[in-house]
Amino acid sequence: MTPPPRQQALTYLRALYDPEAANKCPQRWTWALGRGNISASTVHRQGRRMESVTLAVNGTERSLEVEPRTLLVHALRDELRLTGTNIGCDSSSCGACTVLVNGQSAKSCTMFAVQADGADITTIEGVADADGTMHPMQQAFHEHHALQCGYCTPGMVMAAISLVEEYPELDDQGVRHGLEGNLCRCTGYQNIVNAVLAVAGSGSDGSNQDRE
Amino acid sequence: MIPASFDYEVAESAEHAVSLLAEHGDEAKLLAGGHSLIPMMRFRLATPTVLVDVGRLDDLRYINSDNGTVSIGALTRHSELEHSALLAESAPLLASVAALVGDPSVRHRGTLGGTLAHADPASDLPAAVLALGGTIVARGPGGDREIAATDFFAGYFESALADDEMIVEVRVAASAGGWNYQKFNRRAQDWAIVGVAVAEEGAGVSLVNMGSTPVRASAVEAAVAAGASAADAAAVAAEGLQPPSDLNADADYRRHLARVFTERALKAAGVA
Amino acid sequence: MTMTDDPATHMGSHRLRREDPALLTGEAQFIDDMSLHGEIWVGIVRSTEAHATILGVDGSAALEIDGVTEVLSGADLAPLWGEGALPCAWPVTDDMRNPAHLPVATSIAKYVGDAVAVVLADSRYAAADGAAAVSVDYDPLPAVVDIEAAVAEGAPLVHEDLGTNESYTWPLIPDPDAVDEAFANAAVVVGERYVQQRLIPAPMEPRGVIAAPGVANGELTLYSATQIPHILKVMTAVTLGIPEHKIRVVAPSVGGGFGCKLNVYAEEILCCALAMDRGVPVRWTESRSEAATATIQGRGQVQHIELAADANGKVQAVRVKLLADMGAYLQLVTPGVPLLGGFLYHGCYDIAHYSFECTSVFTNKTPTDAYRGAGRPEATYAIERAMDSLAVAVGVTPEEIRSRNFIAADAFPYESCAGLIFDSGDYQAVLDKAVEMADLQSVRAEQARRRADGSNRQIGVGFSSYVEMCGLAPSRVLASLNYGAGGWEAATVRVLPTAKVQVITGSTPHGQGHETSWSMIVADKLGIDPDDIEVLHSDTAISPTGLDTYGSRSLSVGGTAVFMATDKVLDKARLIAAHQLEANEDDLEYVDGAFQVKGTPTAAVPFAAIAFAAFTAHDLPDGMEPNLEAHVTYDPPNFTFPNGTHIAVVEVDTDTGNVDIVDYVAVDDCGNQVNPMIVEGQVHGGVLQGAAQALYEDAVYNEDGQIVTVNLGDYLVPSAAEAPIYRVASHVTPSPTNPMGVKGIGEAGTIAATPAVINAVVDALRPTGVTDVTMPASPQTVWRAINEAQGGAS
Repeated sequence: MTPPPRQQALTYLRALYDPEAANKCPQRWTWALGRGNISASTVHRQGRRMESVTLAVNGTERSLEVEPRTLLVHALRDELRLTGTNIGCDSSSCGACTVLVNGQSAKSCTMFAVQADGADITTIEGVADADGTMHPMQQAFHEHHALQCGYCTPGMVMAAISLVEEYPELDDQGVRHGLEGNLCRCTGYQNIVNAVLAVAGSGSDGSNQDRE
Repeated sequence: MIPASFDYEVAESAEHAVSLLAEHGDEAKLLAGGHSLIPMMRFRLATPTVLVDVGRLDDLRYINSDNGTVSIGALTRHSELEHSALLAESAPLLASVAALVGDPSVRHRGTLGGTLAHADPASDLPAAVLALGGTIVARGPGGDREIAATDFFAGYFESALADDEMIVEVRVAASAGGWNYQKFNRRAQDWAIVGVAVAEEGAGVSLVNMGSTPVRASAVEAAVAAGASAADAAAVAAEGLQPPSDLNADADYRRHLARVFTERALKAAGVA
Repeated sequence: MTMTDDPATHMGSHRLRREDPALLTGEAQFIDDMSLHGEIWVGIVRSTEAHATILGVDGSAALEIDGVTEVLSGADLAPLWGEGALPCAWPVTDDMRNPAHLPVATSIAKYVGDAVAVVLADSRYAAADGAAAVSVDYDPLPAVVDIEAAVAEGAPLVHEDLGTNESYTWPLIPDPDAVDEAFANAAVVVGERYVQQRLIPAPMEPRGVIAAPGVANGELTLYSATQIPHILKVMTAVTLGIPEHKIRVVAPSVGGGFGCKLNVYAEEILCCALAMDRGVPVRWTESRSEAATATIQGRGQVQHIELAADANGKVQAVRVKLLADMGAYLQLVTPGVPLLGGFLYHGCYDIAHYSFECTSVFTNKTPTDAYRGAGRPEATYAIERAMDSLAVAVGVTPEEIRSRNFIAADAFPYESCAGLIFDSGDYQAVLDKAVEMADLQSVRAEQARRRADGSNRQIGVGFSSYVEMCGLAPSRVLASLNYGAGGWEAATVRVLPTAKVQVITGSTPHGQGHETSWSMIVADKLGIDPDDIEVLHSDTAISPTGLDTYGSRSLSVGGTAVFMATDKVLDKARLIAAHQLEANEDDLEYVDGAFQVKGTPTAAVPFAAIAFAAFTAHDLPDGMEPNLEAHVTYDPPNFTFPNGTHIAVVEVDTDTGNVDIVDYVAVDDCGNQVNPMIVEGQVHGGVLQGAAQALYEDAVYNEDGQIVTVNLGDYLVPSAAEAPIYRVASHVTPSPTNPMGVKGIGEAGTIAATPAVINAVVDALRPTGVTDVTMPASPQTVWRAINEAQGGAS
């Protein structure tokens, strides 16, 4: 294939073509990249500047210094020690790392912490009441046996809280498609769907304020 | 997987972003929602040295309709397209396709301009813009220029954008005609194995993941224009295309799927 | 014994799980949530070649990265473990070939993902940067990828020094002549070949290890996302020569295992060796992409099965030849996995004659090992697919062919042709219940209508009747199979002075809810509130004795040990009560948490009073030890045999080949149930994993031995949007093997679902002439099968 003219999108292709990376990334990228104009480039660069980031995490302002490449999930887990948010994949497929960014679900492995500067972040640690009373979604997961090993659970709960807020009229299929980006290996999903439907059907918008 | 290091710049405006691109050259990359770029960076398939974050340019988040033209700011997120009453009325194909991109978390972050600039032939929204005969407005050092969607996609992850240009707006004609989008995949969250977008007005038919770019199925469009049945028009859906082969589908099966889903889309849109 | 009829008991109730709150709030600590002072991070450089000589490791670029402190090749590390290779605990035959398996390869990389070098760094990011910057010089060797190619003449050898790719051949043929005779006399013979594709277990939590040395006393604490802390402790001691009493292994919250955390991995030994050598905590967290090659895979077999039947479809003999893919090395129980299925290729059918032979081969791929079901899903698939083919050959329905062959309900205990004693069951009753739930009549009427219409949405019904051997297992039987450990389980029930109870179990839950279930067992026996019982596990300092959780063994072995230890506590409590009441212990009964003289509730000693009396020891019977605590190690007399019938109804889009599961009925007999809510949950998740093998999952390797389904974008773990709705019921025949009458449910769904779904797909496609579909039945695979059956170009 003749190298195409210099175009901005080529930045991807000019980027490293490392066989190990190529062996790990989604196959259709390597297929596409294998036909592109690819040359190796240095991966690691020393001396990049650090960035200051201020996040309102679960209602508390937190400031930290991070490398620009620091993923939000690592900032939360490793810097702020909020380890409830888990990591289950590296291809944005599993949703284990789901948090709320300004009230909407987001995969914190697919955001740089710098992108969240100034944002409100809600993690699983922040959804129960201060007295420990669980959020209605957490309670519904408990009551419907919607978790087994519990590793996907924080992300699943956060995605579900966002889902019932965003889609007021959810049915079984709506919940299933709404959670299609959150993988669970234990439950077969049926009890998760039932838990979310119970909250959706309760008229609660999933926020704590709706509880008596 | 951990991305390689880079320097980070926050763009204060589109003009600022363009000037940062010009300053840093082709090693710089725009960061909007990041849902195409960051996964590639995590696998170190993309290692830009500078990221210019345009994600805070809220003045480029809008959906307007005026004089039969729908104008959408480049930083408008997929979920905003999905939930827009205005779009549901004036360009329902776009709203409907947006609702099928990734999962809700992806749609909260991903942007229309970002997905177009990424120019992935397997993405949904580029094909929808293509079927609608849209126009992409790019801003560069010399001001804005309009690029027809049909001229925009150059190859795998390659667009007609210059190194120092960014998309600021996408325009499509408001349409009241029939439309449909068929997306076929094994798991709901995945890229389309094949997708077909049909817009009655302008008789646009475009295909997802059937080549190195999203493509207009011009043979189908011609057949529809000539009054062919859906089945007859769909029979030429894969004509002249060199679709990719991957784990889910080889080229022959993709051609077959393109025919099946083109027929279904044409029928559902009431176009043929 | 019935557990469900008495409303006063906890057993049999849908008690919500006590494990949930910590998991739901993010409080639970998984391995990567931990952080130890002074820890160093390990990044592992893995082979990008399936088979290659390692010519050199160049760490110079890595060492220039801030935070990277060392780059170590396999040769650099070799002194840390000396001769100690990773253990294989199941040498199934005396002549099994078991190549030395070092944690980091020194001279030849044998599969993509084989560790070839190690980077030490001060952070997660530096370790990743460092590993990416190490360059390894390889001289590629020919790789053998396909198992049938591996046994062909002139195949490249995975281990040159062995002179063959065969690890072992294991036959189970009680009476060869009788089998030959049955086939010679058979009216109908069915012969089939099936491929069990390799699967990636993919628990949502990848693996992780932290090894923390206690420098002053030569101690080592190993934290690992493992199912088997007890076995891991023994194996770490044996492998590295660290005195076992100096080792503590802790499995923190573990995010699922499904068998892939039932192992002793290179990274565990590596981190321990480095921690002891450097005197600092050493940690490693697996990425998902890394897991695709660094963690064992499941299945990987080619099966040939033949059935000899009379004209009515009554099967007289079954003959199976198996090729099993070991991968490049034998991990902990790799060679034993095919054997766990090797006794079950006759399924739940009364078949007189049996012939099974497994040849296991090395390939240049990630090792295989136990994955949910381990051998039994493969066996069930083969017999259940073959039974459907037999039904077609004889001209009867799938349910009729099964009914004609089932082991009769009155035949238990039943000695199988493979030599097992099946405990209990009523297979026909289970099938009848499933048929009723599935409303087969309506489904088949709709199927007939669509067939007549030539619809492009064809319907298929698939049956799967299964029986499994689980509850591993009698230690003597395991010895006869050369398994390197026993099959017992340990439990301690400790009554505290204030009558709260600690239960210490050797089982190691990672999602199964043992804390809830074990507390229910003990609460019922002691007549106390389950919330007054704490269940401790997964830390060898707290629970020093155990054999851990796998093979659906926890309830039937570990739960039974808890049950029996509670009985021992009650026995002692009874003596104390008798002493206090000055009564004969035989005259006492235990009612509502108090001992009383039979028929005299006024004279009663409550449990709390006994607990305190045992603690103060002021007034115990002569010679009695203070405190109220009992320990039991239970070695079961037999396996248990859960069974069931599942029915899948699918709709196939014949234009695209797409398959949707439109109904799924599961009727299982796992014996008595402690917590039916947990049982149902196990069935749901198990069914989806089995269905995923049928339709979605496949660890795909190319001809060079590169795995191409490395991440969860390409390896298709299904989401809620793909999952069917399960309709679940049970039929209870208590197991006579253990006092609770329980059997096990952890693997049942996975064992049953795969053939049910594929049988349904084949049934849907029968009008097109399709007789088999390879797994996974992806849309493309199904579409091609239709095309080929119809003689069209594919």
